[in-house]
Amino acid sequence: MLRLIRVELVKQMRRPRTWVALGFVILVPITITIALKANPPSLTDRGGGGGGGGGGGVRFFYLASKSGLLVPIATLRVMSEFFLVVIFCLFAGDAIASEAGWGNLRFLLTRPIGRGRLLAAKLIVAGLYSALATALILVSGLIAGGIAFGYEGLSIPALGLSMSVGSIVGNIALAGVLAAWGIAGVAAFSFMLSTMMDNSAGAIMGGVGLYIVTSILGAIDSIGPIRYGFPTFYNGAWADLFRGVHFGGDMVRNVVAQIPYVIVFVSIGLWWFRRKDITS
Amino acid sequence: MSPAPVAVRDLSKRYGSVLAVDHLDFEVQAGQVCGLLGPNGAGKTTALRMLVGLAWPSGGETRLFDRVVKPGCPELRRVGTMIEHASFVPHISGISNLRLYWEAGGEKFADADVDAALAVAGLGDAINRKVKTYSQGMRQRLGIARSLLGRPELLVFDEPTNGLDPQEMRAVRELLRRVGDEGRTVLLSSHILSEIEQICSHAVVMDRGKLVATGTVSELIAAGASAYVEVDDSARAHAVLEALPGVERVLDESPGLVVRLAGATRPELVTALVGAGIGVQTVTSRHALEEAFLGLVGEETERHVGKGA
Repeated sequence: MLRLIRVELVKQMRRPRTWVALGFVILVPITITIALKANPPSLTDRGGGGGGGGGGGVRFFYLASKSGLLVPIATLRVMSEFFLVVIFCLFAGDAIASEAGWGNLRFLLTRPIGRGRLLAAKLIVAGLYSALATALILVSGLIAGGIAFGYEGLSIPALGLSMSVGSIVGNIALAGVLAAWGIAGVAAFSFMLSTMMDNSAGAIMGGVGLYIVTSILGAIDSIGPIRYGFPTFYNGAWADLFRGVHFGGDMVRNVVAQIPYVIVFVSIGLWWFRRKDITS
Repeated sequence: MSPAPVAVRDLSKRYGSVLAVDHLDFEVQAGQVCGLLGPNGAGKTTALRMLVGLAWPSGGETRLFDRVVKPGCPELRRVGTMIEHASFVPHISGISNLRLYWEAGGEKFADADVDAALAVAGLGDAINRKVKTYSQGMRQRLGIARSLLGRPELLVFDEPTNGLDPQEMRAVRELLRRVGDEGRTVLLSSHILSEIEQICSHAVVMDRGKLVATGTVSELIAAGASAYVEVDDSARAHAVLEALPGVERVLDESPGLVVRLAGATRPELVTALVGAGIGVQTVTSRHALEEAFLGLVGEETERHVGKGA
């Protein structure tokens, strides 16, 4: 199994689109840092994007300009709203469909490789590259933010916010895990579609489409309590870690909400892939 | 006696209302180079897909080395395959494709006998180029090299010369002949009769999903033996030959006649014609397997079958 995972890692690593995706997640935090340094925001600024429970993206950009430690969080906040979702769905939706699209799947499966084992290896590799993309946002943001604004703790009485360096670093790691896991449900949907299609674009767009639709529906109060069960409803909750809130509440709901989606979508994908006739 | 490397038992595959493979039975014994012959749509590729675990049978079973085939079964380690045209991961080199393919099965590339496989493919330095820069012929040859990794006991090829130009076809056929000469068991599907005739010792003939005939190529040719004659008076020759015992049918094929034989020999045809005062210019056996094939699957399939390239 380890050899199979290594093979899949190498195969993805040598794809130009992997380098483009990972290059973007490194460049975006650097670009944001340069913008913040050139034009530092104030708390009274109004701006679009980065919504979510009070404060929004502008608040994070303001905090980022006070301590470089908050640059990765401001960037993660912006990117997890859409761009990171696309990257996760790219890795998940490409897993089987691209192999089928190349016509290589029928050769791979004439090796003595169980279909379940191949699917598990593909899922692990998609997960690893998704985790890497998230980590690179944080690392790139930390380095760029530190150079631009220094590594200081935060103490902003006007916001009732006081965080030590250790506490911020711990919360950055936890935020990365929660933000990544918050996309797991829609990524699993892309992965499921990947087992059913020979066109990876369809599988990728399927996951992105699910994210957009559930995000829009989740913002409509009239939908009622059913929206609490959407895979995207709580996926911005990790931002509360930087509003003086400890891990719990909506963050736990976000973790739990993903589990049934991941289990159901991956199980359907496995069931489908095991019984399908490989023609491509 | 060792078990047959390939055994197909009562195999069926249904796609909705279409029965693509209909209760197919045949075996390929060790050391045979067997052609799976049939017109386009006969069910050859579907049968081969089921043989190597890519597709699930609707009925019956396929066996490799006496073990029922399941997707990913261990017997696939003993089989090299090329089903339809050879495909690869396009953005990596030929050699990396071979390495990743081999290592995916949990084996070390050092054990793959890659040098022997590459020598057969003859790609030279191009093996280090990205596959997306390869011509179709180069891909087919790399595909054959991939199927030879680890020196498998059984090789399964599906239409290996499809999409190739005549020069590439000849190179691939030469390569397949060499593989057969090494004593390995080969199952090769094709709708090109001359290809089967040139490469194979045995043949299985399919039509509309069903088994039509099986045996050695020479047996199949004998079963459908025919002769082509050119004479100076075709009309009289037609009458003389039709009256001759052991002749099943005489067909006009300008400028000569095709004589379907049912016991009569070619010397007997010449004797009868000369005895009737008809000048004989040519007596030959053209596309022997083609004649046999048409006799087996019927004239209406003729237009779907290539006569060689």
